[in-house]
Amino acid sequence: MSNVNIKNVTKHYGALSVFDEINLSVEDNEFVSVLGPSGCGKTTLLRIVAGLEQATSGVVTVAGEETHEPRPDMTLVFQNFRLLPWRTVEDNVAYGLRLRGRNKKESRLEAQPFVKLVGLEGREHKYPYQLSGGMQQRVGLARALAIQPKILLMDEPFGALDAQTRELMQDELLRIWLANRKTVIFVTHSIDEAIVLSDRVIIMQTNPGRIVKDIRIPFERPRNPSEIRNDPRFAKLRGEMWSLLRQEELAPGTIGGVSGE
Amino acid sequence: MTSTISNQSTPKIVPRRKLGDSRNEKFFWWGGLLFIPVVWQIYSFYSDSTLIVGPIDVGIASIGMIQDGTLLRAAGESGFVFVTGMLAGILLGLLIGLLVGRFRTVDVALDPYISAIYATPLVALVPLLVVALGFGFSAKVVIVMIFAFFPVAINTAAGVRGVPVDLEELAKMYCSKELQSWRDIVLPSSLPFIVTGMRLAVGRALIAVIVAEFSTAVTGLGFLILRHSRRFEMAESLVPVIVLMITGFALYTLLKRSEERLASWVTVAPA
Amino acid sequence: MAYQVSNRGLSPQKVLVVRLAAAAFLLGLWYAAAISSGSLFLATPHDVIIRLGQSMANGEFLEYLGPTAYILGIGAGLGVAVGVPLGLLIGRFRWLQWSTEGPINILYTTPIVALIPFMLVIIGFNNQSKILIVFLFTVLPVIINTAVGVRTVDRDLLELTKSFCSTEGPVWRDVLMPASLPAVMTGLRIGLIHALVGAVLADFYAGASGFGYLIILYSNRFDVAGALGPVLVLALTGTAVAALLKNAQTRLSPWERASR
Repeated sequence: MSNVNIKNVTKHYGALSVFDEINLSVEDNEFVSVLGPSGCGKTTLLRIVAGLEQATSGVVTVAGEETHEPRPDMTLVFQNFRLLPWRTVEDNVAYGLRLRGRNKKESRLEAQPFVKLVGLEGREHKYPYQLSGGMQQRVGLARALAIQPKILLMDEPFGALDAQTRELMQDELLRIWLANRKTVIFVTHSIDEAIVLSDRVIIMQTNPGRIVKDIRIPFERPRNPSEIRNDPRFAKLRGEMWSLLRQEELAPGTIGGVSGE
Repeated sequence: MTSTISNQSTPKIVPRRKLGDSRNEKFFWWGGLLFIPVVWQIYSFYSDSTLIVGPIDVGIASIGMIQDGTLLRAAGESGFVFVTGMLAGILLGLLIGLLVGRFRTVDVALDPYISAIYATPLVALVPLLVVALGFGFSAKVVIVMIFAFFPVAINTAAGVRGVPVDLEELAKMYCSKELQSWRDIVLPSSLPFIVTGMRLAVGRALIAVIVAEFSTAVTGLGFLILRHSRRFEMAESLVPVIVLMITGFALYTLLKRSEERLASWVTVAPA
Repeated sequence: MAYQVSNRGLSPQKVLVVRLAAAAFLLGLWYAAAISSGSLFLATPHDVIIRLGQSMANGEFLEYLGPTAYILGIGAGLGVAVGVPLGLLIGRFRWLQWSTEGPINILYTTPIVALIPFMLVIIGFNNQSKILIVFLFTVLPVIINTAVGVRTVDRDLLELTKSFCSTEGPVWRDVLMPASLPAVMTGLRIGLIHALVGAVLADFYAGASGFGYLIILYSNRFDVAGALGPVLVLALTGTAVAALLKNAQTRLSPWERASR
């Protein structure tokens, strides 16, 4: 069981409200994106699920259990990679495995297929400072996959990469996820990325932080990103999401007739 | 590749603030600070030896020494040596530091020697200097000056050298003349480093004053310490130490604060 | 590397030439100063070298070096052995940091020299005093730099360990120790240089043995050439220590340099 249930979760920092009463359900092995502008609280929400931050009120249930802290069956892929600079690629991928009691040799062996999976075979002995951004994020991804979590949380993992690398990584992620299905909650502010990757896209807005729409993505899997981008439904979805995201940039009521819902 | 031991600033431990911590922090800070004098006082209370004196004894002795003027006179003597030597050392250090930092040739030529001397225990020179220069005021000032010179020179050089290349290019694009660049860019961006150098110089200069006074044994706080400890008047011998502690800490805190405030508005661009 | 506008980027050959020229110039200055001021003020470089050689040949050098090396080894060794663990703990646990911050900062900004007469009366003119002096000079910078090293570990990496449900032990192994290594090395470097100062001062005041005492002996005899010999040796030692540790630091943490 690997579902995630977010019920009435509220987050305040003192008097500042990030969001109130968010409700969201993610089913087993569903790929859900959370899409929203800066400041809508999508990252905060993810971090609450991850157990790195605490909700002010409300309950997060993971795999049937109430969750307040990081869990061994769930892991987070960070936007800024967060690799250990003093470890090689293979030792970085093996990080979680070593924590689970394997010794160095065993953990490296177990990590090897994941290094291969993200396409870094041959670079096991390189250090992060010798790798490009895209490669570093692959290490981050491999590290997360190596502990075989049931739930994968991803916080704008490709946000720090250039456009081409980003598309490449999206392809990779689709391929990997197809082979090893997990529940994924993927935070992004790229509409295209959300549509290409997910089963469902949750649109959030700011001021106040809230979910405005939950959109099901109709494309079949396995997906071919370039085909999808040329599909007319893509443009329609994109347009819909764009206008939902855009509404808060204009103060409600300033453009006659177009405001709120 | 220029090798320097320039950033030898051993930093003060600065606490990171979290919500609701300040009460805890104050408790521990004061507790830690008062712990030592309290334990010390208790130990001296129970100790048989007349040589072990507690903070209260030192306090009482200090009143006596202030009243009869010896403490203030000695502090004045040491202070004068300290200030004069520091000023001389800082001025010379600034001059050399600016030259070394700005002109690569000078940098390459002098830097290894300056760094080497910085790593040397300069105290080893004091006996010779006293023998060569005598037991008077000028000898002590020279000693303090030498000790103060090196940290200032090295850190000033580092500051000038570390002026962001971006800003230098900016100045060039606006056809700025050398002196104008100094005014607009070089000096302001080096300022935090210069202050760091001064802070380190203070520490070294204090050591220099005491060592010089130990070696010449005529005037000053160092002399007071020697005289009283030789007579086994332990409480009196610690009074100048407390004065030095307070002075050292005060100067350090003052300079460290200025350093931090300067560093916050001068952005040092990453390499 | 961005194109640098000011007078930087001299070729290695030019660097060598400039350095040799500077060395020659400074040496020349030394000779000139020595000759003009008379042997009371300054000895010529070759005098110093000759006297040093003699001192080494007739065993005097070793006789005085031995005790100093001994107190240095033990005093600095203890300083590091105590300072590093203490610094690690202070860096890691905030309450410990708060309680030790005051005393440590005050002690660090006080000239420890001033405490020496007091120490000598209480403990005596012996090796224990000397070792204590060297210890005090070493331990403070080691503690402070180590603590800062631990405190400034990237919080993102600490959060990473939390997200992987890591316990305290592995956090030290995986993140805290490797990340604070450069700062610990800096602390060692500064601590050892301070230790040298402490050792010389200990020899000056705390008993008639060791290198510092040798300097005093020669100085009192107005034997400048003789006194400068040990000074030169100390200068070389200090420089060597600094250079070696700097090198070691770069080697042990290659990623540090890359990220600057």
